Amino acid sequence: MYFENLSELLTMQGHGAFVWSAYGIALMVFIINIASPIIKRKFFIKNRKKYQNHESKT
Amino acid sequence: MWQWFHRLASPREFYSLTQKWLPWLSVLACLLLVTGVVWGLAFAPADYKQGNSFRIFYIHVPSAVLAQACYVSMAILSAVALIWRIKLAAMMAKSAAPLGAWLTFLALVTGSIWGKPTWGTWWFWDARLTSMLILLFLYLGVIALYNAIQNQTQAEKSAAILTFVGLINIPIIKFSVEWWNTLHQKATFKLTGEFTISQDMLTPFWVMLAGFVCFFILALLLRTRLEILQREQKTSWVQGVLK
Repeated sequence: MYFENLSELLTMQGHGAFVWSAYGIALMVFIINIASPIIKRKFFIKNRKKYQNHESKT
Repeated sequence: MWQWFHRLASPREFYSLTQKWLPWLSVLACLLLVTGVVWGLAFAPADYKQGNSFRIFYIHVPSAVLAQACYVSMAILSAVALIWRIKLAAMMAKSAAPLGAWLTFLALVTGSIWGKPTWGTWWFWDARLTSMLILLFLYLGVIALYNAIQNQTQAEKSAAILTFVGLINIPIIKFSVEWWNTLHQKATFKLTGEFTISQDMLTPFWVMLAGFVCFFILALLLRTRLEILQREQKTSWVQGVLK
């Protein structure tokens, strides 16, 4: 490892806040882009099934 | 081979084929990204001038490269949809727009965060930064057109026209650091294969770039599959899928 210990890895000689926040935002962007279509798909399927059940009853 | 592509152009075939790709792509993207992040954050050496802030490079550059690649792909898909009337291409072009916007946003934000310790400012109206901001607006414009126009065909045509007009911005982004005096550094990578970066900093970059590409394909497939379900919801095969 480039750093001597965990504390050095976290602080990165004063650049820790910049580096970690950039990686945190990247993680957020990844999660949003993967979770969003999965959640929307689930809602869509749920609504569609409700609609189909309603149609078959009437 | 041509027949395979022809089959893949059918939304139904695409939907069932990509179902098998998703788990593999997810595992590959996770492996590459985790390896790249650990390597880039903890094992790559710090830059002699920029120190540890240089590590932002491993997410800033792949997101900027993919944001531009996504725009070019969107233009190609729109052209394919307009010329050959392939529905799947239109669906993929629409699905690529929000993904491209997110990648551009990520490139701008990480660039801004990197700029503070390196240049002493969060933002500067130089050619590279401004042209990337224009790219974000172009993506938002395309998304707005898709949402504003009720008629699907008309929305696709209008979005395609805006995408084609915006293509001019791609070479401007690429060459902005050479055409104008910018605060942004010159390209680290050139298509000619010259690298101005040492090998132990470069290898984690390739891993991260591969991870970003896998993530991009995965996210695009997920969005396109949802678009297919929504548009083809009245067909018998989608009703079969929904059961």
